[in-house]
Amino acid sequence: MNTKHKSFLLPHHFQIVGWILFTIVLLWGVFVMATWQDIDLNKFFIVDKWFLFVMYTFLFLAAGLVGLSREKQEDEYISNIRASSLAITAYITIIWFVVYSIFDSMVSQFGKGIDVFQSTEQWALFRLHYNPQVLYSFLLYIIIFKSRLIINRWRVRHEK
Amino acid sequence: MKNSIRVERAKLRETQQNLADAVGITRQSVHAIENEKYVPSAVLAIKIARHFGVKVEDIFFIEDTD
Repeated sequence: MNTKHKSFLLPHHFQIVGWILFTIVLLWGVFVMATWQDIDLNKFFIVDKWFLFVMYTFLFLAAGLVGLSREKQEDEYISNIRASSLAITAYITIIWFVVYSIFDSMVSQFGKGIDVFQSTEQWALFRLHYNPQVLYSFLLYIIIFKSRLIINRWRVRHEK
Repeated sequence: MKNSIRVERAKLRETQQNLADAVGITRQSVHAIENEKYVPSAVLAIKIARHFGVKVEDIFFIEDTD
């Protein structure tokens, strides 16, 4: 069905490229982390920053290719699932952002007085890895969208 | 919104895949419409009705709650 909603999505083969890139980046990430102890500790922070920069850049690119390209057969129902998955992601992101902001201000205000994170150092570590970055939201959208598609396909296959 | 697509399909002894191919949608979409989990657009509703050779209102029924 040729409808206007298709126009902003990339062709399906971009998704294949995205998945290949995604797999390569993840495998590379696992490899680097597995060999982490071999890295010279004097250069640790330089390597760490470089590693994260490359990792995030390519993960963003892969996530963009996967999330913004058409399914093999994209019709209005699939587009509907795509739109509602984006809405669910937006709700989760907003809730996460609010909860995160409250905790962030509480930790900043009361420092070590808060029991949830025993010390501000722990909070700083948490903050580094779980702050509400766009990448996490986008990955969340891909997970929600793809899992809903898989569940739908499974239901159709197992219909009596 | 209720519909009688399953009945119309049964009359023609047609599979969900046949209907999906005929109107240019996925089998998932046919399944979702038949089970009233998704209400099709006007364009798709007309295409489905034309495929079965009936009027749209003969195949899709509005409920009081709609």
